[in-house]
Amino acid sequence: MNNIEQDILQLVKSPLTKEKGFNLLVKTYQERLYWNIRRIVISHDDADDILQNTFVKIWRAIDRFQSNSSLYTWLYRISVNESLQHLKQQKRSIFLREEATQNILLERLESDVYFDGNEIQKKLQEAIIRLPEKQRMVFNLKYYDELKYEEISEILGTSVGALKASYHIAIKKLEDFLTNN
Amino acid sequence: MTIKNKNGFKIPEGYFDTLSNKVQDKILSEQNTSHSIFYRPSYWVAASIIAIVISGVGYFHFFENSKSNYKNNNIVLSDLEYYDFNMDDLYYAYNENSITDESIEELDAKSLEEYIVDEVNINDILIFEEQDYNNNQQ
Repeated sequence: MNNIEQDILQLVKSPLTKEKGFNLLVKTYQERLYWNIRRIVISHDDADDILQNTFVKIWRAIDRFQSNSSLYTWLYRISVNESLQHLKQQKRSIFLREEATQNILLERLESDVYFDGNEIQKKLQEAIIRLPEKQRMVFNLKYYDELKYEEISEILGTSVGALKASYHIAIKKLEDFLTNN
Repeated sequence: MTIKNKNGFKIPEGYFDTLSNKVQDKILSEQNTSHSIFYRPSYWVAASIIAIVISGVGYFHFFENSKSNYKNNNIVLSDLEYYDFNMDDLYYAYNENSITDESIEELDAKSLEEYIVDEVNINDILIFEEQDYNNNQQ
């Protein structure tokens, strides 16, 4: 655990300094959590809503956090679950296939005013969206957030071996998609 | 004006400068709401109805299934225990009329399971687990 995590946890323990500690937490992790959420839900407006909800949940629970895992993997876990819950609600029915969620995200990519990537960037995002959910999570956390497999394992609750397999399959699928499209 | 990310994603300029205040406002607003609902009689009415539904499902599972062959589309009580119930989610659903007296009468195990899967937030369970783990450690 690094110094800033220790400072935050020390501050949030006391009701007198909880708000100060929480503000430090928000400032420290807002960008990392935002981009993690944004890559999952694509749209800025959705990411903004989910990030705020994530911080509200963290505020409610932070004084009970007792360092059994590192603070930022716990924060990531909450933001990933909040994002996946959002996607599940968007899909409207649990009987719809995963493709339904992927199509919603592809529409968001097309319509979001806060995305104006070039053709290659757009194609890469399309390829990532078309990955199965678990592979997409692993790819984002490993490739963009540069987390270790052990950290991703804590966040997603999956074994390191399964994560390595998922990541390599995801890379292969992305290569195939980009080559054939 | 916007700030551009290298992957083509952009954000409104100054977004992160104002986020902390927006979060504080949301926390204050939710605290005001959550303090008041416990004093409303309808909260306890909703909680009582939900408790009756859960008991009914439990009765159905243990007693009715013991008389007949187990069928895969019945909910397993341990699933309910695993998911835990977020009373706020259920309370809001009741007040927003997505749960009505009529729908409760028609409620079966499958639709209850679908509701839990769709509406109950896994983070509330994780936070509950974290707290439970901490309590056990002490």
